[in-house]
Amino acid sequence: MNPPVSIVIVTYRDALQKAAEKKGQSVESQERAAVIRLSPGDLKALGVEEYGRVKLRSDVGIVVVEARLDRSSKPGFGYMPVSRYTSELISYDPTKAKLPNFKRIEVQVEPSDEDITIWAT
Amino acid sequence: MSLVKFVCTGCSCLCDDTEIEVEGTQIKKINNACVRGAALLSAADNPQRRAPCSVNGQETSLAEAVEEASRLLQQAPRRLIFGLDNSTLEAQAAGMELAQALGAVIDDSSSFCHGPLIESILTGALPSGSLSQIKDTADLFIYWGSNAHQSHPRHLAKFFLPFYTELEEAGWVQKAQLCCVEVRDSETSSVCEPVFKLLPGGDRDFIAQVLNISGGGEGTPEAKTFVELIKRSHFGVIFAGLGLTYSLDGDYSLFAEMVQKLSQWTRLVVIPMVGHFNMRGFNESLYKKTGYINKVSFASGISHGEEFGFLEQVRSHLADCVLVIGSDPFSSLPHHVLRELEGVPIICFDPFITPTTKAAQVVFGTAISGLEVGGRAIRMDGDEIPLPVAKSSGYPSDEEILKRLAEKVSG
Repeated sequence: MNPPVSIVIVTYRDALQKAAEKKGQSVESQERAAVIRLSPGDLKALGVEEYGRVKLRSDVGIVVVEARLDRSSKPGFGYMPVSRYTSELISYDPTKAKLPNFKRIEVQVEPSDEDITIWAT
Repeated sequence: MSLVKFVCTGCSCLCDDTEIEVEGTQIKKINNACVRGAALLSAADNPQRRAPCSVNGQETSLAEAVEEASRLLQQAPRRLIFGLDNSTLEAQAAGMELAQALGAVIDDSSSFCHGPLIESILTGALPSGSLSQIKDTADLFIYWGSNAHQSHPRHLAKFFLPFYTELEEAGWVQKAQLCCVEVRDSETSSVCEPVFKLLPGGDRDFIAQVLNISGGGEGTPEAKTFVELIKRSHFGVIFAGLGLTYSLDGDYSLFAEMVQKLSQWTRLVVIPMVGHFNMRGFNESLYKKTGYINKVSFASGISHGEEFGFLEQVRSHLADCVLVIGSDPFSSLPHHVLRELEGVPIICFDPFITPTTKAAQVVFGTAISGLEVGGRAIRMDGDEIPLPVAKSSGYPSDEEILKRLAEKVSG
Protein backbone atom coordinates (compact mmCIF):
# COMPACT_ATOMS: atom_id res chain seq x y z
CA MET A 1 0.00 0.00 0.00
CA ASN A 2 1.13 3.53 -0.72
CA PRO A 3 2.16 5.73 2.22
CA PRO A 4 -0.28 8.27 3.72
CA VAL A 5 -0.64 11.68 2.08
CA SER A 6 -1.16 14.89 4.06
CA ILE A 7 -4.32 16.68 2.97
CA VAL A 8 -6.15 19.79 4.18
CA ILE A 9 -9.91 19.27 3.96
CA VAL A 10 -12.18 22.16 3.09
CA THR A 11 -15.86 21.50 3.81
CA TYR A 12 -18.69 22.63 1.53
CA ARG A 13 -22.49 22.51 1.48
CA ASP A 14 -24.27 19.87 -0.59
CA ALA A 15 -27.96 20.76 -0.97
CA LEU A 16 -28.95 17.27 -2.14
CA GLN A 17 -27.18 15.62 0.79
CA LYS A 18 -28.92 17.95 3.24
CA ALA A 19 -32.27 17.37 1.50
CA ALA A 20 -31.83 13.59 1.71
CA GLU A 21 -30.94 13.92 5.41
CA LYS A 22 -34.04 16.04 6.05
CA LYS A 23 -36.25 13.55 4.24
CA GLY A 24 -34.78 10.67 6.23
CA GLN A 25 -33.19 9.05 3.16
CA SER A 26 -30.29 7.72 5.15
CA VAL A 27 -28.63 5.68 2.38
CA GLU A 28 -28.67 8.52 -0.15
CA SER A 29 -27.58 11.02 2.49
CA GLN A 30 -24.72 8.79 3.62
CA GLU A 31 -23.60 8.07 0.05
CA ARG A 32 -23.37 11.77 -0.71
CA ALA A 33 -21.66 12.56 2.61
CA ALA A 34 -19.02 9.80 2.77
CA VAL A 35 -16.83 11.22 0.01
CA ILE A 36 -13.63 13.18 -0.29
CA ARG A 37 -12.81 14.95 -3.55
CA LEU A 38 -9.11 14.87 -4.32
CA SER A 39 -6.79 16.14 -7.05
CA PRO A 40 -5.58 13.71 -9.75
CA GLY A 41 -2.05 13.94 -8.33
CA ASP A 42 -3.11 13.03 -4.80
CA LEU A 43 -5.22 10.10 -6.00
CA LYS A 44 -2.22 8.86 -7.96
CA ALA A 45 0.11 9.30 -4.97
CA LEU A 46 -2.29 7.25 -2.87
CA GLY A 47 -2.56 4.58 -5.56
CA VAL A 48 -6.34 4.80 -5.28
CA GLU A 49 -8.80 4.67 -8.16
CA GLU A 50 -11.88 6.87 -8.15
CA TYR A 51 -14.56 5.33 -5.87
CA GLY A 52 -11.81 3.52 -3.93
CA ARG A 53 -11.88 3.75 -0.15
CA VAL A 54 -9.56 5.90 1.93
CA LYS A 55 -9.05 6.30 5.65
CA LEU A 56 -8.91 9.89 6.95
CA ARG A 57 -7.15 10.46 10.24
CA SER A 58 -7.22 13.85 12.00
CA ASP A 59 -6.03 14.77 15.50
CA VAL A 60 -9.46 13.95 16.88
CA GLY A 61 -11.06 11.24 14.76
CA ILE A 62 -10.90 8.63 11.99
CA VAL A 63 -13.37 7.86 9.22
CA VAL A 64 -13.34 5.72 6.07
CA VAL A 65 -14.91 7.33 3.00
CA GLU A 66 -14.90 7.03 -0.78
CA ALA A 67 -12.36 8.94 -2.89
CA ARG A 68 -13.61 10.98 -5.83
CA LEU A 69 -11.63 12.72 -8.53
CA ASP A 70 -11.80 16.53 -8.57
CA ARG A 71 -9.82 17.86 -11.51
CA SER A 72 -10.09 21.43 -10.24
CA SER A 73 -8.67 20.61 -6.82
CA LYS A 74 -5.16 21.75 -6.00
CA PRO A 75 -2.77 19.04 -4.73
CA GLY A 76 -2.76 18.89 -0.95
CA PHE A 77 -6.41 19.91 -0.63
CA GLY A 78 -9.52 17.77 -0.42
CA TYR A 79 -13.21 18.71 -0.32
CA MET A 80 -15.97 17.11 1.74
CA PRO A 81 -19.61 18.05 2.36
CA VAL A 82 -20.42 19.19 5.90
CA SER A 83 -21.87 16.12 7.60
CA ARG A 84 -21.47 13.60 10.41
CA TYR A 85 -18.24 12.49 8.67
CA THR A 86 -16.57 15.88 8.85
CA SER A 87 -17.80 16.48 12.40
CA GLU A 88 -15.80 13.42 13.41
CA LEU A 89 -12.64 15.04 12.00
CA ILE A 90 -13.17 18.72 12.86
CA SER A 91 -11.43 20.01 15.94
CA TYR A 92 -12.07 22.98 18.15
CA ASP A 93 -9.22 24.34 20.22
CA PRO A 94 -9.64 27.99 21.20
CA THR A 95 -5.95 28.25 22.05
CA LYS A 96 -5.23 27.78 18.32
CA ALA A 97 -8.22 29.41 16.62
CA LYS A 98 -11.46 31.13 17.61
CA LEU A 99 -13.62 28.97 15.35
CA PRO A 100 -13.71 25.22 14.67
CA ASN A 101 -11.56 24.32 11.65
CA PHE A 102 -14.44 23.61 9.22
CA LYS A 103 -12.39 24.91 6.29
CA ARG A 104 -8.98 23.63 7.30
CA ILE A 105 -9.04 20.08 8.65
CA GLU A 106 -5.55 18.57 8.55
CA VAL A 107 -5.68 14.84 7.91
CA GLN A 108 -3.50 11.93 6.88
CA VAL A 109 -5.09 10.02 4.02
CA GLU A 110 -4.27 6.39 3.27
CA PRO A 111 -5.81 3.68 1.09
CA SER A 112 -8.16 1.41 3.03
CA ASP A 113 -9.85 -1.97 2.64
CA GLU A 114 -12.23 -1.23 5.50
CA ASP A 115 -15.93 -0.54 5.01
CA ILE A 116 -17.21 3.00 4.78
CA THR A 117 -17.79 4.27 8.32
CA ILE A 118 -21.41 4.02 9.43
CA TRP A 119 -22.72 4.97 12.87
CA ALA A 120 -25.42 3.11 14.73
CA THR A 121 -28.67 5.06 14.72
CA MET B 1 -58.10 22.63 -2.73
CA SER B 2 -56.44 26.01 -3.12
CA LEU B 3 -52.94 27.29 -3.23
CA VAL B 4 -51.67 28.76 0.04
CA LYS B 5 -48.73 31.12 0.41
CA PHE B 6 -45.77 29.66 2.32
CA VAL B 7 -42.81 31.81 3.32
CA CYS B 8 -40.11 29.17 3.05
CA THR B 9 -38.10 28.72 6.24
CA GLY B 10 -35.65 26.31 4.61
CA CYS B 11 -32.95 29.00 4.75
CA SER B 12 -32.54 32.73 5.35
CA CYS B 13 -33.63 33.70 1.84
CA LEU B 14 -37.18 33.40 3.27
CA CYS B 15 -38.59 33.07 -0.27
CA ASP B 16 -42.11 34.49 -0.19
CA ASP B 17 -43.31 33.18 -3.53
CA THR B 18 -43.54 29.52 -2.50
CA GLU B 19 -47.05 28.05 -2.64
CA ILE B 20 -48.48 24.80 -1.39
CA GLU B 21 -51.75 23.01 -2.07
CA VAL B 22 -53.13 21.41 1.08
CA GLU B 23 -55.77 18.71 1.36
CA GLY B 24 -56.72 18.17 4.98
CA THR B 25 -53.31 18.41 6.64
CA GLN B 26 -51.39 16.89 3.70
CA ILE B 27 -49.38 18.89 1.17
CA LYS B 28 -50.36 17.78 -2.33
CA LYS B 29 -48.45 20.24 -4.48
CA ILE B 30 -45.48 22.58 -4.07
CA ASN B 31 -44.69 25.55 -6.33
CA ASN B 32 -41.44 27.55 -6.41
CA ALA B 33 -39.49 25.68 -3.73
CA CYS B 34 -35.83 24.78 -4.06
CA VAL B 35 -34.44 21.38 -3.11
CA ARG B 36 -34.05 22.47 0.51
CA GLY B 37 -37.53 23.97 0.79
CA ALA B 38 -39.12 20.97 -0.90
CA ALA B 39 -37.29 18.60 1.47
CA LEU B 40 -38.59 20.56 4.46
CA LEU B 41 -42.16 20.36 3.15
CA SER B 42 -41.83 16.71 2.24
CA ALA B 43 -40.50 15.84 5.70
CA ALA B 44 -43.28 17.85 7.34
CA ASP B 45 -45.87 15.36 6.09
CA ASN B 46 -43.82 12.26 6.89
CA PRO B 47 -44.82 10.91 10.33
CA GLN B 48 -41.65 8.79 10.39
CA ARG B 49 -39.60 11.99 10.36
CA ARG B 50 -41.58 13.97 12.94
CA ALA B 51 -40.38 13.96 16.53
CA PRO B 52 -42.96 13.12 19.21
CA CYS B 53 -42.72 14.46 22.75
CA SER B 54 -40.71 11.97 24.80
CA VAL B 55 -38.90 11.47 28.08
CA ASN B 56 -35.95 9.07 28.17
CA GLY B 57 -37.00 7.64 24.80
CA GLN B 58 -40.61 6.93 25.86
CA GLU B 59 -43.35 8.84 24.06
CA THR B 60 -45.22 11.11 26.47
CA SER B 61 -47.77 13.90 26.55
CA LEU B 62 -46.66 17.51 26.19
CA ALA B 63 -47.57 18.11 29.87
CA GLU B 64 -45.33 15.25 31.05
CA ALA B 65 -42.44 16.49 28.91
CA VAL B 66 -42.89 20.02 30.31
CA GLU B 67 -42.89 18.58 33.85
CA GLU B 68 -39.67 16.63 33.32
CA ALA B 69 -37.91 19.44 31.45
CA SER B 70 -38.73 21.97 34.15
CA ARG B 71 -37.52 19.54 36.81
CA LEU B 72 -34.19 19.11 34.98
CA LEU B 73 -33.83 22.86 34.49
CA GLN B 74 -34.64 23.64 38.12
CA GLN B 75 -32.26 21.10 39.60
CA ALA B 76 -29.29 22.13 37.44
CA PRO B 77 -27.28 25.01 38.89
CA ARG B 78 -25.78 25.99 35.50
CA ARG B 79 -28.16 25.95 32.51
CA LEU B 80 -27.29 26.55 28.88
CA ILE B 81 -29.90 27.49 26.26
CA PHE B 82 -28.69 27.03 22.70
CA GLY B 83 -30.29 27.48 19.28
CA LEU B 84 -33.45 29.43 18.46
CA ASP B 85 -32.09 30.23 14.97
CA ASN B 86 -34.96 28.26 13.41
CA SER B 87 -37.62 29.85 15.61
CA THR B 88 -39.78 32.93 15.11
CA LEU B 89 -38.91 36.27 16.71
CA GLU B 90 -41.75 35.63 19.16
CA ALA B 91 -40.26 32.30 20.25
CA GLN B 92 -36.80 33.86 20.46
CA ALA B 93 -38.17 36.52 22.82
CA ALA B 94 -39.74 33.78 24.95
CA GLY B 95 -36.42 31.88 24.95
CA MET B 96 -34.55 34.98 26.12
CA GLU B 97 -37.14 35.55 28.87
CA LEU B 98 -36.69 31.95 30.02
CA ALA B 99 -32.89 32.34 30.02
CA GLN B 100 -33.24 35.47 32.14
CA ALA B 101 -35.68 33.78 34.55
CA LEU B 102 -33.29 30.84 34.97
CA GLY B 103 -30.13 32.95 35.16
CA ALA B 104 -28.93 30.80 32.26
CA VAL B 105 -26.34 31.19 29.52
CA ILE B 106 -27.82 31.72 26.06
CA ASP B 107 -26.05 31.29 22.75
CA ASP B 108 -26.79 30.35 19.14
CA SER B 109 -24.92 28.97 16.16
CA SER B 110 -23.71 32.43 15.14
CA SER B 111 -21.04 32.05 17.84
CA PHE B 112 -19.18 29.65 15.55
CA CYS B 113 -20.22 31.01 12.15
CA HIS B 114 -21.55 34.40 10.99
CA GLY B 115 -21.65 36.09 14.42
CA PRO B 116 -18.61 38.34 13.97
CA LEU B 117 -19.91 39.53 10.58
CA ILE B 118 -23.42 40.28 11.86
CA GLU B 119 -21.94 42.05 14.89
CA SER B 120 -19.83 44.23 12.56
CA ILE B 121 -22.99 45.14 10.63
CA LEU B 122 -25.11 45.85 13.72
CA THR B 123 -22.40 48.00 15.31
CA GLY B 124 -21.88 49.93 12.07
CA ALA B 125 -18.32 48.68 11.48
CA LEU B 126 -19.47 47.32 8.11
CA PRO B 127 -22.02 48.94 5.77
CA SER B 128 -24.97 46.78 4.83
CA GLY B 129 -28.24 47.17 2.98
CA SER B 130 -31.46 45.34 2.41
CA LEU B 131 -32.31 43.46 -0.74
CA SER B 132 -35.07 45.97 -1.48
CA GLN B 133 -32.47 48.77 -1.33
CA ILE B 134 -30.07 47.09 -3.73
CA LYS B 135 -32.76 45.91 -6.14
CA ASP B 136 -32.38 47.56 -9.55
CA THR B 137 -29.60 49.85 -8.32
CA ALA B 138 -26.54 47.70 -7.59
CA ASP B 139 -24.36 46.96 -10.60
CA LEU B 140 -21.75 44.65 -9.08
CA PHE B 141 -22.42 41.47 -7.12
CA ILE B 142 -19.62 39.55 -5.44
CA TYR B 143 -20.19 36.14 -3.86
CA TRP B 144 -17.25 35.76 -1.49
CA GLY B 145 -16.67 32.32 0.06
CA SER B 146 -20.17 31.20 -0.83
CA ASN B 147 -21.50 28.68 -3.30
CA ALA B 148 -25.05 29.98 -3.14
CA HIS B 149 -26.23 27.31 -5.55
CA GLN B 150 -25.80 24.73 -2.79
CA SER B 151 -26.22 26.76 0.40
CA HIS B 152 -29.12 28.99 -0.74
CA PRO B 153 -30.31 27.41 -4.02
CA ARG B 154 -32.71 30.22 -5.05
CA HIS B 155 -30.48 33.12 -4.00
CA LEU B 156 -29.30 34.03 -7.48
CA ALA B 157 -32.67 33.40 -9.08
CA LYS B 158 -34.53 35.40 -6.49
CA PHE B 159 -32.22 38.26 -5.67
CA PHE B 160 -30.06 38.69 -8.74
CA LEU B 161 -31.24 37.38 -12.09
CA PRO B 162 -34.80 38.81 -12.27
CA PHE B 163 -33.64 42.36 -11.63
CA TYR B 164 -30.44 42.44 -13.60
CA THR B 165 -31.22 40.81 -16.91
CA GLU B 166 -32.99 42.45 -19.81
CA LEU B 167 -34.41 40.94 -22.99
CA GLU B 168 -32.85 42.62 -25.99
CA GLU B 169 -32.63 41.65 -29.66
CA ALA B 170 -29.51 39.62 -28.94
CA GLY B 171 -31.26 37.77 -26.13
CA TRP B 172 -31.04 38.11 -22.36
CA VAL B 173 -28.40 40.65 -21.46
CA GLN B 174 -26.94 41.03 -17.99
CA LYS B 175 -27.21 44.59 -16.63
CA ALA B 176 -24.97 44.01 -13.63
CA GLN B 177 -21.72 42.13 -13.16
CA LEU B 178 -21.61 38.93 -11.17
CA CYS B 179 -18.26 37.75 -9.84
CA CYS B 180 -16.96 35.64 -7.01
CA VAL B 181 -14.02 35.01 -4.75
CA GLU B 182 -13.74 31.24 -4.30
CA VAL B 183 -11.33 28.43 -3.49
CA ARG B 184 -12.81 25.85 -5.86
CA ASP B 185 -14.82 25.52 -9.03
CA SER B 186 -18.49 25.59 -8.08
CA GLU B 187 -21.90 25.99 -9.69
CA THR B 188 -21.87 29.64 -8.60
CA SER B 189 -18.38 30.31 -9.95
CA SER B 190 -19.44 28.81 -13.29
CA VAL B 191 -21.80 31.78 -13.87
CA CYS B 192 -19.38 34.43 -12.57
CA GLU B 193 -16.93 36.53 -14.52
CA PRO B 194 -14.32 37.12 -13.31
CA VAL B 195 -13.64 34.43 -10.72
CA PHE B 196 -10.97 35.30 -8.16
CA LYS B 197 -9.71 31.88 -7.24
CA LEU B 198 -7.73 31.70 -4.02
CA LEU B 199 -5.95 28.92 -2.19
CA PRO B 200 -7.99 27.78 0.84
CA GLY B 201 -7.19 30.17 3.68
CA GLY B 202 -5.85 32.77 1.23
CA ASP B 203 -8.53 35.43 1.86
CA ARG B 204 -6.50 37.47 4.32
CA ASP B 205 -3.56 37.71 1.90
CA PHE B 206 -5.90 38.68 -0.94
CA ILE B 207 -7.52 41.39 1.21
CA ALA B 208 -4.07 42.69 2.17
CA GLN B 209 -3.12 42.88 -1.52
CA VAL B 210 -6.34 44.76 -2.32
CA LEU B 211 -5.66 47.18 0.52
CA ASN B 212 -2.13 47.74 -0.69
CA ILE B 213 -3.24 48.50 -4.22
CA SER B 214 -6.01 50.76 -2.94
CA GLY B 215 -3.37 52.75 -1.12
CA GLY B 216 -1.30 53.20 -4.29
CA GLY B 217 1.03 50.24 -3.71
CA GLU B 218 1.71 47.05 -5.65
CA GLY B 219 -0.17 43.78 -5.62
CA THR B 220 -0.97 40.64 -7.58
CA PRO B 221 -2.69 40.93 -10.99
CA GLU B 222 -5.84 39.33 -9.49
CA ALA B 223 -6.00 41.92 -6.72
CA LYS B 224 -5.48 44.71 -9.29
CA THR B 225 -8.36 43.37 -11.37
CA PHE B 226 -10.53 43.25 -8.25
CA VAL B 227 -9.79 46.90 -7.41
CA GLU B 228 -10.44 47.97 -11.04
CA LEU B 229 -13.77 46.15 -10.95
CA ILE B 230 -14.76 48.02 -7.79
CA LYS B 231 -13.62 51.35 -9.26
CA ARG B 232 -15.78 50.84 -12.37
CA SER B 233 -18.91 50.04 -10.35
CA HIS B 234 -21.42 52.47 -8.86
CA PHE B 235 -22.95 50.20 -6.23
CA GLY B 236 -21.40 46.91 -5.21
CA VAL B 237 -22.78 44.17 -2.97
CA ILE B 238 -20.62 41.54 -1.29
CA PHE B 239 -22.53 38.42 -0.27
CA ALA B 240 -20.21 37.09 2.43
CA GLY B 241 -20.29 33.34 2.98
CA LEU B 242 -18.94 30.95 5.55
CA GLY B 243 -15.82 30.40 3.46
CA LEU B 244 -14.78 33.98 4.21
CA THR B 245 -15.71 33.80 7.91
CA TYR B 246 -13.73 30.61 8.55
CA SER B 247 -10.78 31.74 6.46
CA LEU B 248 -10.57 34.92 8.57
CA ASP B 249 -11.22 32.91 11.76
CA GLY B 250 -14.05 35.33 12.50
CA ASP B 251 -11.80 38.42 12.51
CA TYR B 252 -13.41 40.86 10.10
CA SER B 253 -11.23 43.89 10.99
CA LEU B 254 -9.01 43.73 7.88
CA PHE B 255 -12.04 43.04 5.68
CA ALA B 256 -13.84 46.07 7.19
CA GLU B 257 -10.75 48.18 6.50
CA MET B 258 -10.80 46.99 2.89
CA VAL B 259 -14.50 47.79 2.47
CA GLN B 260 -13.95 51.24 3.93
CA LYS B 261 -11.00 51.87 1.60
CA LEU B 262 -12.85 50.66 -1.49
CA SER B 263 -15.86 52.79 -0.57
CA GLN B 264 -13.92 55.88 -1.70
CA TRP B 265 -14.74 54.80 -5.28
CA THR B 266 -18.14 53.19 -5.01
CA ARG B 267 -20.99 52.48 -2.65
CA LEU B 268 -20.29 49.05 -1.17
CA VAL B 269 -22.49 47.00 1.15
CA VAL B 270 -22.06 43.57 2.73
CA ILE B 271 -24.86 41.02 3.24
CA PRO B 272 -24.15 37.86 5.25
CA MET B 273 -25.18 34.57 3.62
CA VAL B 274 -26.94 33.42 6.78
CA GLY B 275 -28.00 29.77 6.78
CA HIS B 276 -30.65 29.31 9.50
CA PHE B 277 -33.78 31.20 8.59
CA ASN B 278 -33.87 33.46 11.65
CA MET B 279 -30.32 33.51 13.00
CA ARG B 280 -30.10 37.21 12.23
CA GLY B 281 -33.33 37.66 14.17
CA PHE B 282 -31.77 36.02 17.22
CA ASN B 283 -28.68 38.24 16.95
CA GLU B 284 -30.69 41.45 16.54
CA SER B 285 -33.11 40.58 19.36
CA LEU B 286 -30.38 39.65 21.83
CA TYR B 287 -28.39 42.74 20.82
CA LYS B 288 -31.40 44.96 21.58
CA LYS B 289 -31.97 43.21 24.90
CA THR B 290 -28.40 42.94 26.17
CA GLY B 291 -26.03 44.83 23.86
CA TYR B 292 -24.50 41.53 22.67
CA ILE B 293 -25.47 39.29 19.75
CA ASN B 294 -24.63 35.94 21.40
CA LYS B 295 -22.60 34.31 24.25
CA VAL B 296 -24.59 35.97 27.05
CA SER B 297 -25.01 34.88 30.66
CA PHE B 298 -27.92 36.06 32.82
CA ALA B 299 -26.43 34.41 35.94
CA SER B 300 -25.53 37.76 37.45
CA GLY B 301 -27.14 40.58 35.51
CA ILE B 302 -25.91 40.52 31.92
CA SER B 303 -22.42 39.21 31.15
CA HIS B 304 -20.78 38.41 27.86
CA GLY B 305 -17.65 36.47 26.95
CA GLU B 306 -16.08 33.61 25.03
CA GLU B 307 -16.75 31.29 27.98
CA PHE B 308 -20.48 31.66 27.26
CA GLY B 309 -20.17 30.27 23.72
CA PHE B 310 -21.83 26.87 23.20
CA LEU B 311 -18.64 25.01 22.27
CA GLU B 312 -16.66 26.50 25.14
CA GLN B 313 -19.48 25.73 27.61
CA VAL B 314 -19.49 22.10 26.48
CA ARG B 315 -15.72 21.70 26.14
CA SER B 316 -15.06 23.06 29.62
CA HIS B 317 -18.02 21.33 31.34
CA LEU B 318 -19.60 24.64 32.30
CA ALA B 319 -23.23 23.51 31.84
CA ASP B 320 -25.20 21.02 33.96
CA CYS B 321 -28.27 21.00 31.71
CA VAL B 322 -28.54 21.99 28.04
CA LEU B 323 -31.72 23.15 26.35
CA VAL B 324 -31.34 22.94 22.54
CA ILE B 325 -34.07 24.68 20.54
CA GLY B 326 -34.43 23.92 16.82
CA SER B 327 -30.78 23.13 16.31
CA ASP B 328 -28.89 19.92 15.65
CA PRO B 329 -25.37 20.24 17.03
CA PHE B 330 -24.84 16.46 16.92
CA SER B 331 -25.04 16.55 13.12
CA SER B 332 -22.33 19.01 12.28
CA LEU B 333 -20.32 20.21 15.27
CA PRO B 334 -17.01 18.67 16.42
CA HIS B 335 -17.79 15.33 18.00
CA HIS B 336 -14.72 15.33 20.18
CA VAL B 337 -16.29 18.33 21.94
CA LEU B 338 -19.83 16.93 22.03
CA ARG B 339 -18.57 13.77 23.75
CA GLU B 340 -18.00 16.01 26.78
CA LEU B 341 -21.81 16.21 27.11
CA GLU B 342 -21.96 12.64 28.33
CA GLY B 343 -23.96 12.60 31.55
CA VAL B 344 -25.35 16.11 30.99
CA PRO B 345 -29.15 16.15 30.56
CA ILE B 346 -30.23 17.49 27.17
CA ILE B 347 -33.68 18.87 26.45
CA CYS B 348 -34.37 19.31 22.75
CA PHE B 349 -37.07 21.08 20.73
CA ASP B 350 -37.30 20.01 17.08
CA PRO B 351 -40.01 19.25 14.54
CA PHE B 352 -37.90 16.34 13.26
CA ILE B 353 -36.01 13.35 14.60
CA THR B 354 -32.32 14.27 14.52
CA PRO B 355 -29.10 12.98 16.08
CA THR B 356 -29.61 15.62 18.81
CA THR B 357 -33.18 14.53 19.62
CA LYS B 358 -31.81 10.98 19.84
CA ALA B 359 -29.22 12.12 22.39
CA ALA B 360 -31.77 14.10 24.44
CA GLN B 361 -33.50 12.99 27.65
CA VAL B 362 -36.54 15.17 26.95
CA VAL B 363 -37.78 15.87 23.42
CA PHE B 364 -40.46 18.32 22.38
CA GLY B 365 -41.79 17.59 18.88
CA THR B 366 -42.67 21.08 17.68
CA ALA B 367 -44.58 22.82 14.91
CA ILE B 368 -42.58 23.98 11.89
CA SER B 369 -42.11 27.75 11.92
CA GLY B 370 -43.60 29.44 8.86
CA LEU B 371 -45.59 26.35 7.90
CA GLU B 372 -47.52 25.24 10.99
CA VAL B 373 -46.95 28.27 13.20
CA GLY B 374 -46.81 31.92 12.21
CA GLY B 375 -44.78 34.83 13.46
CA ARG B 376 -41.99 37.06 12.20
CA ALA B 377 -38.38 36.59 11.16
CA ILE B 378 -35.41 38.70 10.08
CA ARG B 379 -34.07 37.80 6.65
CA MET B 380 -30.32 37.67 5.98
CA ASP B 381 -30.38 41.30 4.78
CA GLY B 382 -32.05 42.62 7.93
CA ASP B 383 -35.62 43.02 6.60
CA GLU B 384 -38.39 41.77 8.87
CA ILE B 385 -40.60 39.22 7.11
CA PRO B 386 -44.03 38.11 8.34
CA LEU B 387 -44.56 34.35 8.41
CA PRO B 388 -48.22 33.43 7.93
CA VAL B 389 -49.48 29.99 8.98
CA ALA B 390 -49.78 27.83 5.86
CA LYS B 391 -51.37 24.71 7.35
CA SER B 392 -52.52 23.39 10.66
CA SER B 393 -50.91 20.67 12.76
CA GLY B 394 -51.32 19.31 16.24
CA TYR B 395 -47.78 20.22 17.25
CA PRO B 396 -47.10 22.92 19.85
CA SER B 397 -44.99 25.94 18.91
CA ASP B 398 -41.56 26.70 20.41
CA GLU B 399 -43.06 29.86 21.91
CA GLU B 400 -45.89 27.98 23.66
CA ILE B 401 -43.54 25.42 25.24
CA LEU B 402 -41.01 28.07 26.27
CA LYS B 403 -43.74 30.09 27.98
CA ARG B 404 -45.02 26.99 29.79
CA LEU B 405 -41.49 26.21 30.96
CA ALA B 406 -41.02 29.81 32.14
CA GLU B 407 -44.26 29.60 34.12
CA LYS B 408 -43.15 26.33 35.73
CA VAL B 409 -39.66 27.46 36.70
CA SER B 410 -40.88 30.86 37.94
CA GLY B 411 -43.81 29.45 39.86
